[in-house]
Amino acid sequence: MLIETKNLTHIYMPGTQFQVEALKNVNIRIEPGEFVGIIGETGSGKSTLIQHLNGLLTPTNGSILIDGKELERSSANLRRLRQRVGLLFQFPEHQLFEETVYNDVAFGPKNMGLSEEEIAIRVREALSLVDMDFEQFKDRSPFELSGGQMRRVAIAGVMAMEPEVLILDEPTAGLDPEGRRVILEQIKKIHHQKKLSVILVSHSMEDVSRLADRLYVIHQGRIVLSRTPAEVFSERSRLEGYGLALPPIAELMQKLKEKGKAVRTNIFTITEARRELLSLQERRKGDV
Amino acid sequence: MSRSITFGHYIPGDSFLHQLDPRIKLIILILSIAALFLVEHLIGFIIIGGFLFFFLITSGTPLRYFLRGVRPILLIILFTVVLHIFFTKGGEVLFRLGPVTIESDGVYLASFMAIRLILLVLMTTLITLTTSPLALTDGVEYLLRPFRRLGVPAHDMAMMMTIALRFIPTLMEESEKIMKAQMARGADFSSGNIIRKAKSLVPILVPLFVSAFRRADELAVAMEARCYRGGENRTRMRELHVRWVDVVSLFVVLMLMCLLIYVRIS
Repeated sequence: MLIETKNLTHIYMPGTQFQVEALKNVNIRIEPGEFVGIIGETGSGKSTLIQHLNGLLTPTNGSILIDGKELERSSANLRRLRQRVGLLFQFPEHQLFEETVYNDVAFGPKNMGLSEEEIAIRVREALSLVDMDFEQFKDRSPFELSGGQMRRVAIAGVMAMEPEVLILDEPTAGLDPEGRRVILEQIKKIHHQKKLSVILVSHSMEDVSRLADRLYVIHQGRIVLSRTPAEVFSERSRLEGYGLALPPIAELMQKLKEKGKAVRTNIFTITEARRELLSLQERRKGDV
Repeated sequence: MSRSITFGHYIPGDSFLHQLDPRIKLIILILSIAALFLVEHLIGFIIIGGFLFFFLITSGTPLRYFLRGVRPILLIILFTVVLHIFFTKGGEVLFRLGPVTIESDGVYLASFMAIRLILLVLMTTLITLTTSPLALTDGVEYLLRPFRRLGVPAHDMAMMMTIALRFIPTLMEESEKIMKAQMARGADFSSGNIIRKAKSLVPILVPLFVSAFRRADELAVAMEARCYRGGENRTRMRELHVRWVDVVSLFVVLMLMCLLIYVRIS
């Protein structure tokens, strides 16, 4: 599924003294199967942008194109779109409400009007996607799970609708490093297994850089950069102007390069950095 | 929704009413409401309405905010009017259709009741629009103080009011967020009959309550961490001071009240 926005502008409460222009002429394009990151500081318009992509917000100006066709805002159309574009809000565990994990994950498929058997299959599969044992968790209350587990149940709740595009708003916010690692691994796995497009929204460059093929940097409601992570991170001073910091490892490599060391800068993981530094040492030994 | 202005929302300004002491304002409000129900002639309503209109204009707040305050109770007004017109008997018969009659007393009472209710809401809206919630609760606390001997926890009640007012926007925002999250999962809040609609609220209300309790817990801990322990010996950041204007305003209103009572008795 191909999603595009054309000159998308969104104004909150137009015509009052509280008017805020949250998005200005935004043009983005998400190809089927792509993994795209959207980064920007708090209040830059990230959340407003993604809520347009599944029809929760209506553009003040401009349009949303789905597979090249302009989105018609009939309620049936919007419901179909929301099923095809799964959106997971920040702190999604706050949306859990059912008595059991099974029922909560089944909420989406039930709203789609699927049969009980189909729902059972989907719930089982969705829970396994987030590594939660079906038999162990299906009858437990979502409110007695740990924070990380609740979040995984919420992700399963969206995945059970089998969307073609998965949008995640700050999926790792408020988790400890282990919880973050697990969630990011699972997102990577879901992207791989289900062949869907993923849009990952974050202000943390570190999370996004490891997973995304392409980044959109958004600043004060405008898309200011749209390239691969490596290309985006080579613009360190510009990013700082947008209130964004490089991932620590990329920052280290950049600084080494500025000091005149011959290292690659498109490195985002510790393992890669270690290899690069060791090879630098080897090369220098060779020179001597 | 969360960004829209709720009815009775305080709008900062520096008019005469904005500067009046909140305690005095509350007393005046109570007296004026009593006056509304004492008055039995059109003249009285015109006098009260005239005063009210003068303050509406001079408060510097756009008139549409007041109209928005009246809108929610239109249904109640309509209901009272209809009841009075059809069920209050007496005076001349103005209209007859089979067993149903409309009599002049009913029409009088209906129109008086409607005027009273509208003036009442306008007055209250005027006070909440020109008094910050903090000043308002300070005023309430002060006025409740004499009742402490009877076991009324004045400070605690005022604190509860402050907290409740403070969290209305937060909860509105929260409910909007949850609603969107459930809509993203295909929830439908608009179609179906009443029972279905009520049922569709469960996915919003459960998370909303859960988060309200969590917030309450966090707030309690935060307050305790700052050694909050109720009203005993607490000093305030902003002391209330009664000025001459306040005394004079109260005096004028009291005089008007006496006049109204005199007219009513004689």
